[in-house]
Amino acid sequence: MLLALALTASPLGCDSEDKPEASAPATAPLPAPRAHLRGLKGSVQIKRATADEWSTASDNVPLYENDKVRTEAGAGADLVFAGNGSTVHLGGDSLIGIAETRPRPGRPRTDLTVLRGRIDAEVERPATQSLSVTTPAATIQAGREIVFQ
Amino acid sequence: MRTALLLVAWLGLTPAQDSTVVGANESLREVATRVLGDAAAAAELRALNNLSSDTVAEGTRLKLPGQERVLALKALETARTLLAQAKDAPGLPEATARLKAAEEHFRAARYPQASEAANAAGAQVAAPGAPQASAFTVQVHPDAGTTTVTVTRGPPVRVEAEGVTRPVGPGETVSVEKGHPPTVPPSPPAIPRPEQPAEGALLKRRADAQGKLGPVKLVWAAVAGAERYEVEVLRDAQPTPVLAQASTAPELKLPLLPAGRYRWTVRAVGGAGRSERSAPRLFELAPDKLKLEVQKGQWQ
Repeated sequence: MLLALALTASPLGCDSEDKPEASAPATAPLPAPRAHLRGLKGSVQIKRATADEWSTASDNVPLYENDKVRTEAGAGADLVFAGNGSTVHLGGDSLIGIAETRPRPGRPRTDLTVLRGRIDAEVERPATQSLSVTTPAATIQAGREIVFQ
Repeated sequence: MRTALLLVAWLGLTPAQDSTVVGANESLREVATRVLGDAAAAAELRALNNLSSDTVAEGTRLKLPGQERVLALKALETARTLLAQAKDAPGLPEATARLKAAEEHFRAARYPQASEAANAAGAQVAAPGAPQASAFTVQVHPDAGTTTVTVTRGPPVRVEAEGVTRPVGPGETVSVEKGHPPTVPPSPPAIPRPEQPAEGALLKRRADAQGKLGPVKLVWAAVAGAERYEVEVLRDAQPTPVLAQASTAPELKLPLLPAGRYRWTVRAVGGAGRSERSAPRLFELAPDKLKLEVQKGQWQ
């Protein structure tokens, strides 16, 4: 009797899990933003990794890996990196990209590519954090040294 | 033997150091002042003796804190001093919070916890590796990506190019050309030091037909790396120079000038750039009166 009741009830209990995949569109989890853009001054534009066009940036807009930000002469913005408190001020006539990062447990790391212009960077806790900046000519690493193994 | 017995008896009669008896009309704050030297320690006595108020009956024996209070007090004082000195330390907010927790433990007579929290607060701002924010600037020039890195404060940053890593400390700058290892850019020449005329010198010169005076020679100390010197001479407080001239030697002979007060500056120019201008040096140019001598004779 119990077995019969169990068999009868079983399909109802599994209803939500057994939905056909076609009825539930597969949505990839949103990536975590690497930084936010704040303190915008003048003309600041952003180009998403998946977009072809530049668009006007707004205050507190999240930045993800491979996004790009550019400023016109006299403009500026602050990139506040999530998680580690690093702040990068982007000067005028600059072009930067949020590079891919490889965070490690307890060792937050940020990679930023500067293609043109000037940045003023600050790593709040260099003993435990690091900021890696890549330019066409060099790689600058501040904070804790990361050794790849 | 008798002496030993007396000593034992005295020790037995001596009131224990870990307690005290409340006197007549004595408040808990007064007891705290008497035994601990601090009226605010009444809160500790209240916590230590599980009292619900500061009112205690005369003759009540109160438990007193022991050596652990002294240790906690020292830890608190040390932490307060360290935090006061670490005004801009990045870990200061956390250390302050820990110190606050330590003080709460102390007031509640939880002395071991107070010591632990105070020591942690002090260590946070006093450790050799105490976190100090790292600040630096990266400038990518519009040419082929030449990069200049300047560190303003904090621990050195590492600049790597072409397999060469160069640490850059506060106040230092390195430049990296694409395809080359990082190099320290040559610094511009030093600021030349004016030597002659002396500061504020009054120079008397004969006037020419137009009333202009001269000659005046400016001399300054040569500096290493200078290929030439740029001299500016300005009159009084006028902002525009009356003369701007270059010289390859550390001196310059001025053309004839009208009488008046002048100031001059010099700076060195080399392959690595130009120095700042020297501090202005003043001189005054005045006509020298001609002494007429008429010989004795028919023309006298």
